[in-house]
Amino acid sequence: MDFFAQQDAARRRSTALAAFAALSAVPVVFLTGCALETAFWAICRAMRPALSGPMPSLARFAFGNMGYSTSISFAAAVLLVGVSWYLAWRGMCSGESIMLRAGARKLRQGEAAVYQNVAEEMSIASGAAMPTLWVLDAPERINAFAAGFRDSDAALCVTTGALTFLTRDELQGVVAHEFGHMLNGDMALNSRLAALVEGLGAIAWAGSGLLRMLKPDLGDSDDDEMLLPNGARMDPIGRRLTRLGPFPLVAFLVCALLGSALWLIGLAGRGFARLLQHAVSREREYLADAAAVQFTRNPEGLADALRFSRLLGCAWSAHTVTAANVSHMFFLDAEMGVAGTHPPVDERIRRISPHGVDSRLERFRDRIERIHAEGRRRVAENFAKNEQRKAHELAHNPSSAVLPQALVERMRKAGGAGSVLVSLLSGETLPECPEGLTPFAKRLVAAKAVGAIRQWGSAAEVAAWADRIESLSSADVVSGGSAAAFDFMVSCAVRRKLRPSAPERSVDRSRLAEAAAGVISTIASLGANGDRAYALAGERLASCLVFWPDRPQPYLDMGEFRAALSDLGTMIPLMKREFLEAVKTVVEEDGVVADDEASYLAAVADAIGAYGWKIV
Amino acid sequence: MCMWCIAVAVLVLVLSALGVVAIYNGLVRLRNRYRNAFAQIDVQLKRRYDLIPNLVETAKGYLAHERETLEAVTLARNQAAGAAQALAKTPGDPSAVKAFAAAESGLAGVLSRLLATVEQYPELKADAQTARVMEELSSTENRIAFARQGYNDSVTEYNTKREMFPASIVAALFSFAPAALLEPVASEAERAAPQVKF
Repeated sequence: MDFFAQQDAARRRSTALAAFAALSAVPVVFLTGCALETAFWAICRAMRPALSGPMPSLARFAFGNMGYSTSISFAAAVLLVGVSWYLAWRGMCSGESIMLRAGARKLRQGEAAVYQNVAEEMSIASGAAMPTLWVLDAPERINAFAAGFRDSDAALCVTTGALTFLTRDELQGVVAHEFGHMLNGDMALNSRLAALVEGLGAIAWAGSGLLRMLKPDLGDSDDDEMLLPNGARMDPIGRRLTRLGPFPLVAFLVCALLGSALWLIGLAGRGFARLLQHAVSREREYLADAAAVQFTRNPEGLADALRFSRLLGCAWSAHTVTAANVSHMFFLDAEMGVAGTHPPVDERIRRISPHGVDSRLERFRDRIERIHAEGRRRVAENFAKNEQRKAHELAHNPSSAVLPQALVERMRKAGGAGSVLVSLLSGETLPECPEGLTPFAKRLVAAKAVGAIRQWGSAAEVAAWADRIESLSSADVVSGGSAAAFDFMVSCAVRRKLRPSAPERSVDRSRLAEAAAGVISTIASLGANGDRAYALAGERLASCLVFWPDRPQPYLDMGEFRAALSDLGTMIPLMKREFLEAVKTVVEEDGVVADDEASYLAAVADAIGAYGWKIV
Repeated sequence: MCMWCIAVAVLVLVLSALGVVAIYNGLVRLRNRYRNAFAQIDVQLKRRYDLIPNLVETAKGYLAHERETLEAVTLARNQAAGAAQALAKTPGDPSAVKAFAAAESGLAGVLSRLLATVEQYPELKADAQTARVMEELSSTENRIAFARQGYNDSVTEYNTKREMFPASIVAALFSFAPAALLEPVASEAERAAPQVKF
């Protein structure tokens, strides 16, 4: 096999395909411009009776003495595609955050010596800088991927299954393949193409957004985001338009047509660009394979790794939902054919090895048995874990919190509710529930008691109970265990429900992001895997908080935590909701919602003044 | 009309100047890459000299019955390190180069013999400690081979680029000299082997 010639050919083909993909933006922009221009003309025509003179035809309108409208339309189209392209490109992130998002962890010192050696050998052979090494804990999968656009943040990840079950030569082939991707800049190329696809998709998104705005209000729709904090419903544009008489009806129709046109153009453009992106990606796989043979000078290593995974069947596909996001970067991908990002394995083997696909397959039999056993063991383990989680959830189930009638009666008065809260905070057992309360029931009783004080107490009583309860809840560190978390939750509820509301104020956006990052980092530190939880939350928040920092922030102490939450209280309702969802993601990251985490989630919802969303 | 001619001429000039700059930068990048690859060989050889005493020390407990092989490794390592030092003192001296090449191939020979010896003892191969030592040894040998190969690859890339049109013009203009490939180690070893009497 002449791997230099193969690399040249693959490079040539993929460059041509990438150029085609880039050119596909041109007709999309052109059609979008045409659609905008036509809509503009139609609206001008409808308005014409109010102005003077006859209306020119579309062609005269577009290219005649009013031709400036054409440039405006086309500038708008270019801007739409360009800006969304840029935004999508900027959203692509560093190697480290991609690794965290895929659920990988950094290789520990002295762990997997063969992997480290092989990577260093390939770094020497390829002349590429040494990437940081990661592993994905997937003992029954065989896969690998690389991430990062620059030498400084290049990252390489291999599944633990590949480390266990591949021989040294095979692992070397796999690692060399990933080095081929890094050296050829495939991650950057693919991200650029993905950004192009997203940019073209933004036109479809704009079109469907336009259509959604026109959707007539059908009474009690289930669109929560249309609800304003005071319970009023946002008025959709369509209703406003239909209320205004015959002229807006024309505008309505034009907008509807424009919306559908944009939607169709965007979808077609995005589909076409995505097909080309995948074709480029497949060529780059051949390129990386040929590069791997150049680096190792041992085609059989890589070919054996491919044969082995081929025998394993679909077991190599991305194993978690998060890993599916980055599947295009994998050494192997389950999806093949026109829509796939990877070429068929058979063809890959045939191109690098003269021995073909079925060469001495009996060598793999033993290993395949073992890896299947490993897979079965994992399934059993996951099953056991699920059972455990179910038991945990049952303990925190609302049905476990049927409160005794006597307790409910006692909380019908402000004084009774206050005394219940005081006993809860000082850790005493309630006489109505001698066997104690589950953590969930405890939170429920506390929330009901605070509500009861507000409902049944006079102004003086409310203030007095608020003072007394706040003096009792003495949480001073965030990681102070579930009792401190409970105290904090009660104090947040008291502050929100029993204190007069603070005057409106506005907070700088950069400070908002800082406060949000601080709160998320602090709560993430309570879970098992803080960095990953932070990255997950970032995925939610980075798009709405412009100054969102990439890395976890130092943990906040109680005072800072309160201050940050009060800053976050100034966010608009939609952002509050997004923030709460992010906190929820963080709390649920390790699969178990601990008591303190649940308390903090409730506390955050109270402290930022979130309305009416069911979170816990 | 004349204005157009001047404009076109200026445009062509600017474009070709940009092209020359791009080609020149590309050549410099490739040249630095092969120089770095060359330095990498020395780095890896040095790493091997540093590593071998430790490895032999670790292996002694486990390979007591292969004492001679281990001693041969240490001896060959010292010879090679000495030859490397002598070469560093008188760079380019043909006899020093020859001695260095012979010592290097001698070391490679005993190391591969050690690896082959261990292969013969299944219970030794299964031992974790030995496996670790052997992994380090074979990785060290791989690194040196890969460093040589990487050097040759980058030299080939540089030479190809340098000789192809239009980069050949820029290369001649700024005197980018051709780079030499490393001779394969195997042939040196073959040449040196008959002189060694077992």
